[in-house]
Amino acid sequence: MPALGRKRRAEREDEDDGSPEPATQGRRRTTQNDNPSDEDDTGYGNGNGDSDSNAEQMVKKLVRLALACEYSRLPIRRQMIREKVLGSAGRQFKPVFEQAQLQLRSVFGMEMVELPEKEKVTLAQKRGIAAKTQSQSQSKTAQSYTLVSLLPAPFQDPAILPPPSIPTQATEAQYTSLYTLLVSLVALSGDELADTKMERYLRRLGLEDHTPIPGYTKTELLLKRMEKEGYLVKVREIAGGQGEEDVSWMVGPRGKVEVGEQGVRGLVKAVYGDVDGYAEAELERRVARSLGLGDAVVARRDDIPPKKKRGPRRKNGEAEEAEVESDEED
Amino acid sequence: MSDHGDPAYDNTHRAFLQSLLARQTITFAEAKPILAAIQTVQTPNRPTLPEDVSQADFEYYVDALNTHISAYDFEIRSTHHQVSKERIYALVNTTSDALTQMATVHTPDEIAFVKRVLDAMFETYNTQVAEVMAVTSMQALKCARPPHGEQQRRDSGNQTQVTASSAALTGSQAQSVLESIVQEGWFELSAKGYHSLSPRALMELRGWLVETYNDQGGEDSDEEEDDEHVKIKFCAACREIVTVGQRCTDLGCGARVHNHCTRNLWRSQGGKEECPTCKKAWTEAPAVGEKAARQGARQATNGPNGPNGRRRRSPSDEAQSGAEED
Repeated sequence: MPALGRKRRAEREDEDDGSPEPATQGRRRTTQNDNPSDEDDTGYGNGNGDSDSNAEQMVKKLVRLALACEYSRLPIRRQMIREKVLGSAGRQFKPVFEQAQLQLRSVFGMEMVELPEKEKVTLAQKRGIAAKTQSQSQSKTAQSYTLVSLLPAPFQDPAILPPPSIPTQATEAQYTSLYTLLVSLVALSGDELADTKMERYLRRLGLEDHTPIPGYTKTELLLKRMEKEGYLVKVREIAGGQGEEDVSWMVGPRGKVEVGEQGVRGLVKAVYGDVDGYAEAELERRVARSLGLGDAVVARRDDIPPKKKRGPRRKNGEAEEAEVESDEED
Repeated sequence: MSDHGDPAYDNTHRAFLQSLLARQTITFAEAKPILAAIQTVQTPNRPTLPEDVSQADFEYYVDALNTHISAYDFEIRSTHHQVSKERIYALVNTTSDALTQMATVHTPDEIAFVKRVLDAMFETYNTQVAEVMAVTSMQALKCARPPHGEQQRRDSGNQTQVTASSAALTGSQAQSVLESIVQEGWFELSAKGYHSLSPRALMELRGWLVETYNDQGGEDSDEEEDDEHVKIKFCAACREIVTVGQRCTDLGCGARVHNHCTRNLWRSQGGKEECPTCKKAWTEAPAVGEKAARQGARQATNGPNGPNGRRRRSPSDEAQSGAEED
């Protein structure tokens, strides 16, 4: 029985061709073979996969690269794009990138979003809050990206979008809930949580030594993973004459993009449960204050752009047990 | 978000695509509530119930998705589970390196171990006499250590063949990798304790399996009557790989068929229950799969000059096959 989708496609999907690319790109209509057969066949008739100058090939590679990076929670680095996608055609970055964005949006309902750069330690300390709102210290252009889903919020239901099966849905759900929780704790502490306090929270959660995540059963390993993937940042500051170390935690770039303010609010709401009327407004105010947003901020609802791709935060099993009193602790 | 261009492709398709990306596999039964939820989000005034989603609706979505994703070398494939006969769909990457996906959650040494287990499945325990293509936990754990000394070379030019440089896993490491691989959906563990490739793995690795194990100088994967034992064979009825099924009573004949495909095969032959290749009567056909391990397969592997003909593996790893008896 023939597998589905083995149709001959006469021409490329061109629905996103309304792009502002310069005509010099020379987009060719390559005849499509049958859908890629089982052997290593790129499926492109004339355009052999080695020809890096073929703009379509580059766009395709970038789309695949973005998806693959997201799969392993790697940031899509500009450098990586240059090496793996553009090769010698470095100047084509902008058009290729923009075209890939169009295709990601129209086919997958996702797009690449800039990851904020990590701030320097001492600068962050010295400049306090200001450093957090500044995007980066040196370069104007983003150095790395991550994928986010653009589907409207109602689609982000776990019944539709479960935690990805990497390696299993259960493991992924556990990890998601833990990093969301820790990111929220840090965020609600004004994006700076002293290590001693972090330890205290971990102890309350029963996580000070061991975690339930397979492969990362030691807490230290799990925290390292969160750092590596950009959810948290461990900041070491030498303070005092003795050269003692002040260790504190901040929200990492991915934590800001993927969890973000939206995620933190969601978690707090999930923990507090259904509140309405005055209590709800009060809660909103406290959250806003803890997040350093000021009292005047009104909670926005569904119309916020980048939604997080990786599984909704609302299903946080561990969060229910945590005593999240952190919003007032600092 | 607006749908520029194609009115037949909208957020419901994108949501379904993202849903598939998150899951390993899906059946029509599993897809019904998902599509119902998606369509309800799209048109909340007319909520859709799972029962309202028909097979045709589902296939329409799959087709639409395939049209759009094939440009990126992705495809939603389907296959029948060889035992349960359920039709299973998976979004596969048609050009990824064989074990790339596994490699994102496992170390290179662990992947090397998995590769050795696959070698055991498709070479050691896949002989003309007994095409088991499955391994018990014991047999799999014997692969924890790479074979001593000699490298395994293949002429097909595959990159991932050198195992001599990988480190051995401890018994418990190997055990836990094995369990993980089952949980991740690549292997299935049968009631009698045999590990075999899951439908998803068969779909994802189809090309790689042929390339790796049918390396007789060409991509020729159909049944051949060579002296060489063809390792990966396809069903005479549905053309999918057979790792569980039946074979011609003539052990030298390469005809294979899935258990659930036999009826179709006979029908296509005008009711004649005979081998499509050599025409011998198809009665009490020997089994392919774990049953073959018990069906009088006394000699799963012979010495270097056994009925399997020339073997590319070095004699030292004959030791791995140990005491594989009925």
